[in-house]
Amino acid sequence: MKDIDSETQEVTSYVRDRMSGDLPPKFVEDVMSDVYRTPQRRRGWIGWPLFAGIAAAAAGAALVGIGLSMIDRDGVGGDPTPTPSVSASPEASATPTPAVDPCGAVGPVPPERPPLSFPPLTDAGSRATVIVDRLCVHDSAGTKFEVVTRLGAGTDVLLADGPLANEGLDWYWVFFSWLPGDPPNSPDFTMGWVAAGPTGQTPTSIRVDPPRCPDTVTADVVGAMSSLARLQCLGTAPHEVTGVIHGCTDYFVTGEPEWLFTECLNLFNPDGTPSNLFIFFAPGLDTAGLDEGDVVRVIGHVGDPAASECRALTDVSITALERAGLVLRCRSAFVVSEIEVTGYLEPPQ
Amino acid sequence: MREIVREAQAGRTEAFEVLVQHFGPQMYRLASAIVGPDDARDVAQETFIAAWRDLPRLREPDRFEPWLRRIAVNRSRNMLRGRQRHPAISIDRPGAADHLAGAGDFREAAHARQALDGAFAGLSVDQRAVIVLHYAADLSIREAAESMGVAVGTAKSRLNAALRRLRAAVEGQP
Repeated sequence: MKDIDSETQEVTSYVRDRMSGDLPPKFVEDVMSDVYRTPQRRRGWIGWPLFAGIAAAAAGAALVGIGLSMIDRDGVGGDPTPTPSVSASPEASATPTPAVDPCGAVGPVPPERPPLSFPPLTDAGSRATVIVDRLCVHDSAGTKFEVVTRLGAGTDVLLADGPLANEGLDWYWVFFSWLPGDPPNSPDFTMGWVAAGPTGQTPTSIRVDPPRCPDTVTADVVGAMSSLARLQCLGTAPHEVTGVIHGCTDYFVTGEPEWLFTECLNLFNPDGTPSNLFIFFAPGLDTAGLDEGDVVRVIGHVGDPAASECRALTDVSITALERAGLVLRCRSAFVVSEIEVTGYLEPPQ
Repeated sequence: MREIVREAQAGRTEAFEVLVQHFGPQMYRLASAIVGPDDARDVAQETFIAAWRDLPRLREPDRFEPWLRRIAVNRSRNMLRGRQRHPAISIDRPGAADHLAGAGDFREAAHARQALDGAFAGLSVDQRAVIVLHYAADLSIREAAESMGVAVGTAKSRLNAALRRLRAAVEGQP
């Protein structure tokens, strides 16, 4: 029998030995060869890593019956294929309803952006279809803000917030695919603001359908729901789900309250398949002894009051849109108030 | 380094090449420790391509290194999950057994190594990552947790679980 120090020394030595070896020949050249062919993803967009919760929208749609790809396009005029294109051009749009948003005069971004409407979230979480061609998408809710792309008639979008009144128009924050056919977890699945029509009137540039909520709430279902669908369908009521503790992955923004940014564990389904539900432990909850592979029954909720105060801790300024998305992520976080370990399963590989 | 990262963020490939040269060996060794030498090159290469692609989105250039490590850990995870297998570790690698502390006899060292290989292959990817980051890359638990995108408590828990399994393998040796 060896003592613990000796065993630890052997383990340490073994692990150090694994972490050895020289860089293979031509490694740098091969990497750079790929780099020259790879475009960079520019900032200004809300991408997958920061908004994984939102990006689960389409997967959620499939599960809760609001599949974006299933939208009936009958009666929608124009090109049925979404044809977003990158253009910050200020020229007049070809849209049949130029009075709604002629894309405005793209110029210097005003220092004050209109506030987001948290709360309430009225139509947020709903799906919608663009019913005019070349609908302008701005990076904030106003015609003066940069036009980041245009959406073709028939493009499926998910409403993340709205309506928000500005300049006499109702604006929606929409979630859409940057490229037609992109999977929902693509980094290019992104967001922007569109004018739906004159304030207080029925939208004329998009057709809004109400969200459909799931009949049953499981870790799988909640994990796949969009952030807004969670808030609309689950409210703040407690819900019980079961799953297997796994781990937290790929979240690189630090913020506060810290427990909403760091104390997250990915909950897998009891059969080991990913549920994509990240759970967050409310302060004071006893989580000592919890380990990967533990089968747990948890009671949790979304819309935790602490979430509305969440903010990123960074010395680099982030856009209003990104801040809003961060709040949205925090608000839709599944906060656990009770947890009970009921068994153990080998963690999925 | 911060300025080089900023230049690479602006799309200057020559700046990024400096980063690849500087961090390449470290990322290769990290990948090698987690997924094994056979797949390490692919993981390291994918790590840098992903880093280049998403570099403009890195908000804090000072955090480039932990950010890069996190990408490497995630790529290692994807590699292992994608192939649904654990890497086979050869005990015949020159000098491997010689580095085992406290193993004066080569055969004993080889047996210990074999036991540890088996135990290490049985660890989850996240357990492998935390033990490599902490014991081989000399990161603190907090730094290792940051590199994996998990809470400190989660990293500690994984480290303890991994150590238990590896110690058990050592304990079983003569």
